[in-house]
Amino acid sequence: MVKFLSIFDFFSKNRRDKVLNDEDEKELFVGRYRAFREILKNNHQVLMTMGDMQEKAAGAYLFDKAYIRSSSSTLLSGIEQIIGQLNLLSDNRYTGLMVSFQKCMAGIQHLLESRISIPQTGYTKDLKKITKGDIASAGGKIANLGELASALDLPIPPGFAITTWAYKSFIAFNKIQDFLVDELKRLDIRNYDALRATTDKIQKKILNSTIPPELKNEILDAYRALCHVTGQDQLKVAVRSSAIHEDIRASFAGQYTSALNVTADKILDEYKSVITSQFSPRAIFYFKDKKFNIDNMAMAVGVLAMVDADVSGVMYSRDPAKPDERCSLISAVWGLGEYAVGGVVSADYCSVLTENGEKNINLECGDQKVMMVTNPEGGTDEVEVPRDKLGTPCLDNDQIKDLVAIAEKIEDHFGYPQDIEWSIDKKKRIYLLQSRPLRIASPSIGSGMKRPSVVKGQTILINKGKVVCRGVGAGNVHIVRREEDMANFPDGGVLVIRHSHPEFAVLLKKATAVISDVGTPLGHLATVARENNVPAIFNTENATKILENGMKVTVDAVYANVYKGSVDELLSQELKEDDFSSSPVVKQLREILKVITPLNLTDPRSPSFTPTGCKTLHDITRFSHEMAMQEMFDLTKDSNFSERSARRLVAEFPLQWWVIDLEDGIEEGSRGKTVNIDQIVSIPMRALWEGMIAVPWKGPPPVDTKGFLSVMFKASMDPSIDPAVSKRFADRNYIIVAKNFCNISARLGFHFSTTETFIDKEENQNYISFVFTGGGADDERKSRRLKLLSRLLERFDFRVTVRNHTIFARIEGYKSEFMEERLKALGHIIIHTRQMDMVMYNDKMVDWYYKEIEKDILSFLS
Amino acid sequence: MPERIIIIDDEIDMLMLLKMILEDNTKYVVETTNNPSEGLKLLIEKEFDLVITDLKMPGLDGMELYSEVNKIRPDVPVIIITAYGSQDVADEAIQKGVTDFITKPFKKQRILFSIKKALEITKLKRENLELKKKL
Repeated sequence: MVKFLSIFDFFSKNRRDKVLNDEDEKELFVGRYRAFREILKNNHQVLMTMGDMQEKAAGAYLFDKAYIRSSSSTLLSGIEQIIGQLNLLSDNRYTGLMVSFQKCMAGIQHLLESRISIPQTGYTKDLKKITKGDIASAGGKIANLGELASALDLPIPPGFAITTWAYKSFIAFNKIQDFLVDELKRLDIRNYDALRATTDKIQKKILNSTIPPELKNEILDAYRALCHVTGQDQLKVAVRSSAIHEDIRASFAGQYTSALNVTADKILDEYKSVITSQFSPRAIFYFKDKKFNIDNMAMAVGVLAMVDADVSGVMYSRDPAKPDERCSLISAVWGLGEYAVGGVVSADYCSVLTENGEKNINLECGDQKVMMVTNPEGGTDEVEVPRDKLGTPCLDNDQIKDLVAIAEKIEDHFGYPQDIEWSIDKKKRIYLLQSRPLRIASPSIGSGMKRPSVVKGQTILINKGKVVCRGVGAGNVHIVRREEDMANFPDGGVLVIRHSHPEFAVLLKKATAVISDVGTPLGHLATVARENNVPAIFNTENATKILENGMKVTVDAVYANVYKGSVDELLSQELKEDDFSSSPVVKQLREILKVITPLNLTDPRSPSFTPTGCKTLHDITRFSHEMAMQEMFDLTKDSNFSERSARRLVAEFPLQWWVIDLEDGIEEGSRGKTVNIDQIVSIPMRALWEGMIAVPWKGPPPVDTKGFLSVMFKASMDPSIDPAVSKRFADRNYIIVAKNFCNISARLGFHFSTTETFIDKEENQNYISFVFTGGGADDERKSRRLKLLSRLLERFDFRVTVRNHTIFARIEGYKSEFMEERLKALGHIIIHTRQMDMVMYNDKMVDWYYKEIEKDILSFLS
Repeated sequence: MPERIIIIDDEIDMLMLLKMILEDNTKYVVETTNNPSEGLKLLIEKEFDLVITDLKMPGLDGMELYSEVNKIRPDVPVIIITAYGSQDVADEAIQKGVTDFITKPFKKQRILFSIKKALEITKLKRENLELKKKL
């Protein structure tokens, strides 16, 4: 009985602290309903804006900072409104959300204001510890080089970076920041003489400045550690520029100096030379012309053990002329690589096409007469190519294959074709010196994806749906129908689901593709798919029926096709759309999206599903949406409407049901103490009602329609079962309606169910929530009836959880027509399973009734 | 001879991107400036076949710039790009004689197609003028 009390306590009128009169009660409720509706609307808008920003961040669009600012502000204001409305709905239970919101907002504002801030780090950092995430401290070039070793275990020379923070400290120590800002602000870069004079003045000032003692000591300590690692006392090094803006566009390439084969005594001078090169006329022209913030000028410097190169060169992981083929290009010279880069000598040229695992090498020998070599005293010399090397290829086939394998590995890691500098030392060891994205010409106008939409000779299993995240993925099908199926989801599996519910987000780290029967590009799971770049097709309607567990499929989330087996033709192709990924605004947008789109709150039952658990704007949206539905449900449950604010429902004769109209759920102009069912215009109420009366109840006692309605709504009420139930509420059932909303608390005999639903044009807002509990029979029979209900609800697309003899079922995100159909099914289930626990003698009865009820429902669903 | 295009936009990133696209995909000669007054000066000093300008700029906005261009070089088409796209503004601009009105964000193909069309119109207009002169 204790359980019953907790379940039926909604009947108690003393639940609310404040005693309100009917009008106040209704006004309060209407206000909250409006807040709830606004939350749904804003939630939809917010997800749409997020989706739009993700689309733009993919790199196919041109936009400017104004777009980022306006989208961010639309998003922030939408979410702020959601939080406000949720607090209105819940008596300020979620004020903590503002803390998370403000944190996110501060993060976005920071990213909008300054693109790159120089992190406060040590003056030097070991190259082995540097990754591509260290661009702001180690500069683009050195960060990428560090990544090759740290992430891919590829050979690079040992070395260290002198950080951007070291540069800032150098400038601060010499008090030249104001001087730099003044000089550069005044400078008219179109006046070449002035440009020359100013940059000369700046360069002299920097060269004459002093390296702070702590910086000097740290550089020399790092150098000595490098000598120790390499086992060479007088190790010579290459001192290379690594600016933070260097990776933005190739325009910066070659603008900064690097010094080769530097001896210990010259390292500090070369450091100054390299940072001075940031102020060359060409670099300053570019920097100012592009309106980069002078305050953000900062340069890191790489100090790398000098590779005494036998052969050096450059390679492209992909031939820019044939981006569709896996064809790498290598140019190689004898000696140091500077001559290969500058095109000074006639280098060997080699193209390597990888086909079916085979590497086909096509080598053209150059005619190199001179080469650059290291001088034992430091610096470099130009010498003639020794006679024994003249006319012979610089690389043998094995070396070529090794280099190509490296190039492919780097391209696969970064996801873009790469331009790589390398050297092979006298002991035939390969070293990588630099890797940066290779800009490949975009396809011609209007081409987009050039391949045909359908791959000939392959079996298509599914050919409909909406592409939610573009791409191609293949793997074995793993259908997730319920929570248990999530636990054994395999790495590299293709996630196949009925609903695109956000709880599946956790699987997207493992999945190679997602296929959902239902869902829109605007749902939470869609946002997460794009965030993780997992190819996804939603709204396929029946993928869960067509596909089978373990089946190998290829998901083409470009043309929304799913193929049987592995279609190598698709998998080997990359998406080659216009790519503006290297543009600073795209990068900025992507940074900002990191504060916006990741979804950490996937499971409402998790302990971190709290306001403070919200780390991103997406988390806040998801949390608020979930809570809004729960609050609305609880609110309806807790409301104390009385006769005066409610009208009795009439269908052929007066029923024991009272209707409360929130705003537009009853035909306009209708007045009086009763309301006829035909006057109700609430879309969900009508659908549910239609399902309730579609098939007359066959169960005992057999009755006609009138009798059936009477039994359904009157006779089955028995307030005496619960002495705690107050008289007024015990004999009434309430239906709260608005045009798009309906909440029905139905007490039928020993059972109690609540259905709450919202249905509108935007499928993203739509939901049906159903809770069922109770039963007069023994536990075994009750369990059987719960089993029957669960099976039926699942059959008609509800997600079902059963806890303590209570069923919680929900369905959301479908189009209105579909939702109405499901409401009809639910209406039928509510009526036709009542008192059924009495007849649940054994499991066979469950099967029998399941089939019967399913058959009946299918008979009237369209 | 390749056609000459001037792009005027106070947003430096947009200028960079547009220049990059045109250089990568076409043989047009492109000049850029982030200062509308300087843009007008350049239009007086040099020959251009097309102007691409942003709508909202400090000092001189895109429509004002269009009026000025129309006075100096009536044969040069103007494409206006804007982040503040409303159909009314676009209709008004087109009515006044602006060749095209593009709302940001947009795809590369959109601007390339618009440029191609605008340049064809200029060519036809100029040929027409030449013929009239000859007549």
